[in-house]
Amino acid sequence: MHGFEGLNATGKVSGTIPVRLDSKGVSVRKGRIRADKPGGAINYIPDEKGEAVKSASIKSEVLLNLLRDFRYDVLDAETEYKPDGQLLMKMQLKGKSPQQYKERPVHLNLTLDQNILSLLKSLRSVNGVNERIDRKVRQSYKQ
Amino acid sequence: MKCRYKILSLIVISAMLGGCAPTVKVEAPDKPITINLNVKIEHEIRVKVDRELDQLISQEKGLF
Repeated sequence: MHGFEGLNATGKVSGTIPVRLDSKGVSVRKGRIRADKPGGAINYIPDEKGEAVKSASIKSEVLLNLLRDFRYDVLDAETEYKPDGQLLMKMQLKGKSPQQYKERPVHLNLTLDQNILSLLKSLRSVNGVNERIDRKVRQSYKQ
Repeated sequence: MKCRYKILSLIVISAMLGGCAPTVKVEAPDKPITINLNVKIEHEIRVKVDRELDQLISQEKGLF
């Protein structure tokens, strides 16, 4: 979603995301994506930029070690999107992390809650600041 | 016009404030390890302006 550096994932997914457009705007209800058999792998090895995630919690370290080499056979994701931009995603992963726990199954339940519209707004305003300063500086030097 | 302002630098930091609270459950060896992770992302932008640029902005009133 944010183009995480150091994240690699393999596997095929299929599913449906019903997009509804009405007077309130765009919304998605009960979107669902599942991984096709036999699943795939997730390798997340954070670089320096990923340090923030690492330092967020000591418990995250368990998770990060696990995600270095995670082989999943079940991936089931549900998604909801509301017209106000709120995106909720629930993902269930079942698999193994051979390096960490050998044959022991690992279940990973992940929920993501964020506002896409506020993200876009943030990104736009960053560009806006740069452009405005650039333009104004050019103008003031021309005079 | 002599260019007095050698350095114009602007650092825009888009900070992601995520509330990460993973719970890790460890049980008997053959039972699955369950990890629940809830991530709520809020977006915040901080604009940091260099002192030199700050001077430029206050001198050149028309800039903003």
